[in-house]
Amino acid sequence: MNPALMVFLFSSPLLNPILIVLFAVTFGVKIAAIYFAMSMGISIMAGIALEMLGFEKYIITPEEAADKGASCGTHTTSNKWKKMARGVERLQTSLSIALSGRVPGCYYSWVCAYRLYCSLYWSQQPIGHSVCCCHRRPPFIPVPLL
Amino acid sequence: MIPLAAAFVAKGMGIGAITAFVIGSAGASIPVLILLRSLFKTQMIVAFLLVVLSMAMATGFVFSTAF
Repeated sequence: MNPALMVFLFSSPLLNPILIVLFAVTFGVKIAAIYFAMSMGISIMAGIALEMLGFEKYIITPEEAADKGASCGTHTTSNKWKKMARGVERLQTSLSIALSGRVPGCYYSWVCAYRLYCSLYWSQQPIGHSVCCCHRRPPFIPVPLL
Repeated sequence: MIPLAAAFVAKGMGIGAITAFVIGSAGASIPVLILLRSLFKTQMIVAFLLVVLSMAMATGFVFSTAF
């Protein structure tokens, strides 16, 4: 891990320009300068110290986060509740498609015949069984029957 | 935060305590900790809290001795 990461973590809330300027205006430039120097110096020292102590092992990597998200709820919720939740989700989805032509939370959505087409270009998220979803705006106007 | 601190100063609070208050509230606020929880494990969050609070105390001591 780069010590710059930890230094940024510590110093970014303390050394934001709004805070520094308000400090200077309210309490005077001298106090603001000392505040700046103290928080900058201690942030740098703390960043180097944490890097030397090997704190990089306490950072949650994206892979770990994905594992956590995937396993979340699989062993805690029972099958019945999951089924019920999926039914509610599907009802919401079909209501939303019927009313607005869009899956909730999606920029564009198609029925699943176009899932392959969808996944070629954008991130897809299958909701229920029959709908896929593009979260981002496509770079061109999609042709529905490609 | 700063307007609150200014009101405290106007009522006669020491500048060291004010600085410690500003650093502690800006650095170790609950939204920041909740955000950090998704990035770091508990040990790292405890270290972060320790560093920020000791920074607040150190700066507060410096200010109250200097002014």
